[in-house]
Amino acid sequence: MSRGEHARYRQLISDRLAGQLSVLEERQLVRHLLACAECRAVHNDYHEQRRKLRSLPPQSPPRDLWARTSVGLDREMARRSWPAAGGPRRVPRAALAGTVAALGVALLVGTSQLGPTPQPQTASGSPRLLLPTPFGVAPQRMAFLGSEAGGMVLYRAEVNQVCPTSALSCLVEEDLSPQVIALPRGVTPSNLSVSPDGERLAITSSQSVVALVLGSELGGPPPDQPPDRPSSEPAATAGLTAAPEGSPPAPEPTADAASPVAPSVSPAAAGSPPAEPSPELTSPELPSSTEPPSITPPVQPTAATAQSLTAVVILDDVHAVGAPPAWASNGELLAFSAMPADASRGPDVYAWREGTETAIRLTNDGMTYFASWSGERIVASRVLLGEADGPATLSTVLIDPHTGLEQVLPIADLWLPQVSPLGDRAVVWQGTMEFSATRARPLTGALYLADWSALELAATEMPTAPPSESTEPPATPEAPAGLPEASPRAQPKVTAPPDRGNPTPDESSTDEVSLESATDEVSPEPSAGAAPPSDAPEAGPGATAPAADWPDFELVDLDPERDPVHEPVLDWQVRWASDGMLLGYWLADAAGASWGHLKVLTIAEEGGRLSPAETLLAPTLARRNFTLGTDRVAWIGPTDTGGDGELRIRTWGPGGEGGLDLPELDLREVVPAF
Amino acid sequence: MPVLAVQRQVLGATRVTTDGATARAAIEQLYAAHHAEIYSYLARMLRDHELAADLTQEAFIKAYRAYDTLADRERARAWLYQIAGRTALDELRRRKIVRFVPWSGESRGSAASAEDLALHGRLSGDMERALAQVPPRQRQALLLAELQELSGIELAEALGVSHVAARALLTRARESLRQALAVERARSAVAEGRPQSAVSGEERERP
Repeated sequence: MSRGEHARYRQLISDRLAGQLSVLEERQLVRHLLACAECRAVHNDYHEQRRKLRSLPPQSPPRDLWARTSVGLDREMARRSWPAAGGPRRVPRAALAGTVAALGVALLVGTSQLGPTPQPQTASGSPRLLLPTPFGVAPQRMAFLGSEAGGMVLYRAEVNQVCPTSALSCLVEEDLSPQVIALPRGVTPSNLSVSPDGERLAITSSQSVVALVLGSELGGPPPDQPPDRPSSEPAATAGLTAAPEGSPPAPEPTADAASPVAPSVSPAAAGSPPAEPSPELTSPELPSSTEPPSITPPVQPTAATAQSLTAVVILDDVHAVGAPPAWASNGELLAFSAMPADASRGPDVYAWREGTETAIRLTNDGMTYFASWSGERIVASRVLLGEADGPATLSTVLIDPHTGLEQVLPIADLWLPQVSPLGDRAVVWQGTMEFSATRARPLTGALYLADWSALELAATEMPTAPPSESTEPPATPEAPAGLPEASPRAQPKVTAPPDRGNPTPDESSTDEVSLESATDEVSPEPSAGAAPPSDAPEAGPGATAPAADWPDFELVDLDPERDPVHEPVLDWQVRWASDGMLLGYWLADAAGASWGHLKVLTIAEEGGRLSPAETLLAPTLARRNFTLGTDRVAWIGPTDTGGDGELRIRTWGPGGEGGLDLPELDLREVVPAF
Repeated sequence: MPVLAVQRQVLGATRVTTDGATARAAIEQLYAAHHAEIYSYLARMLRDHELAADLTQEAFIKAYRAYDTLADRERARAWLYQIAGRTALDELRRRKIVRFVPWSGESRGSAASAEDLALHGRLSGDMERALAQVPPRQRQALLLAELQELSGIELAEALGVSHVAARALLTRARESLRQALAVERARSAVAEGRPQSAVSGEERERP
């Protein structure tokens, strides 16, 4: 009998003690116990545990406990502002609650992932002296998105004060700047990804991906934006510029735009996407062979659109899959993976640049999932379906969004690596998966820490071409290409697959190839630092990929106590702080669930070995999506008064630990994201 | 510029709509009914009677603050246990007794602190020593199920997890305790100069 079966019966034995077995389970268990001495021993041990536990001496409370508690309650009553006496405290709450509730539903909450500024603000006292004084923290932007009949309103604020954790409560008054967002008709946001500079948003809805350029003019530059940030440097974008010739330059921040704008939006303003998706916007397929990929005139926010924050549908009729959309570190490129809404094919990786109308598909195999960014390259996970009933395998590829060229990492069966901003470490999922023609689904597995720099270094020695799907004939010039550029590299580069026996480093093709070719391409001759993929472990159902097959790469279990088989990680999100020292991960309570648990911890490195270190936020009930800065984490927690979520922030740093929550926001029906 | 004033509260604080006297009276009733078991639970969790008393007091004050969140009086017991449990875990974390709390809330693998060792030395009996080795989150589940006799939904609510997760946590707790007990028995046998086989005759290789 397998260990897994024994574990199942241990669960039943435990359930039986709790009186939670069904009749059928009871029969199964009894039958099993008669035949299995090991489980019988477990059964006896568990009963013995119960007997001994219940015979432990009683723990009696001290006699003065009530006196102490009563004093504490008296003190608490005196310091709290109850509704009858708390008029001043309830005014601002009512003001916000009324405003947001009147809008309908606050749909999204977002914060930009900014690091702290060197000098925290000084604390400012509350005029209501009964409440503890908040203390200052490095400012960080935060955004709330609320909906109303005419569109959505973006509220922006800056978190620069929190309450000490020892305080019962405190009062911080904050200015909120409302800004209307003109979302295309039918777009109901379900996810929000904020660029590192806080100037761009990517909104995922059920059937489209929408980009929204906020611009620094709306809230001033991020407080901690490094002076050498390359996003606005022309040199940094040389060869990457998506705006075709003749496109208007990006608007400069204006003084006018810095003012909050009254909620008057015309969705038909210049640059607004069509209410009904046009064919060229709706198809996730590659451009036709007669119309090579090109970028239509960019949608630049004019002064009017900047004020009303018009959003652009960059891909329609799709489901976003894989890791949530993410912006490159310079905030210029957005990457994500999506598949047609009708599931006619699997997912591919797309990239979008401000100033262009649509996202460009970078892969063409229909089984590639966006994972994260590693520097300027996109990290993606790909399923390599075997022939007929043959096993499928997983591979991790690095995609240059400018050229579409790919490199394969020399380790199999990692899934959706989340690379730290410094590119030195990553969190990866490893386990067993289930595959269909268009989807891959984790079955059992766990999250691990990996030395990404070593993996990426080895990847440079192992170029290969992406495989193509077997159901589509090759031989059209519809090659996935990098993002169009102003340079001669703007044209898609279509090259033949590299010779199997003579792969050319850094020149792997993105052309479509046949399945056989694809198989060949992922099975090159053994090379330094990489075992031959033919030795790669199977990744199909029931197959686990032992990392040990690939030398020199150690995966450190993030949660050694979690059984990857019986408590598998099936649905997760990982975020790194900008310094790469903090890691936050959220695990769904069940695959696809809105709620899960969020944990934040530091990562230590001793003797070259990564390991989880101090926990900054113990596993906490949280809605999907969160944001993590170097000194804070923000998430949506459960409300205590009927709402479905409230924004919570926990900070740490020189000023000590602090926190806030915003219970006034009615976040019902929210799938909040940051 | 439109300005909206936002009141922010520290984490864990909740809005209060009940008047203070009503909430106070209700908490007093809950205290009378449940303070002994809450104290007992915290004492087993923390292995420190004085600390358990402090945190019992703190738990009821927190309950008072959050009284409006108690939607169903029938579930007050699980609600109190949840508050007390969180208070205990926060304290454990704050004191660095648990340096790393893995996802499941367990701490196996982390080095025992000096405080742990000192506490361990004061504990008597295999069961108490073994229980002290069970990771806090699991220990919560075990104590709630076996000593406080919570089960089903009530146990899940007290742990703040789903019913399925609570079942799994409890099973892991039983297994952890089983292994810890085996270690303690072996240790006792060595200390008393008995052959281990005489003590561990019931020990079987883990499936």
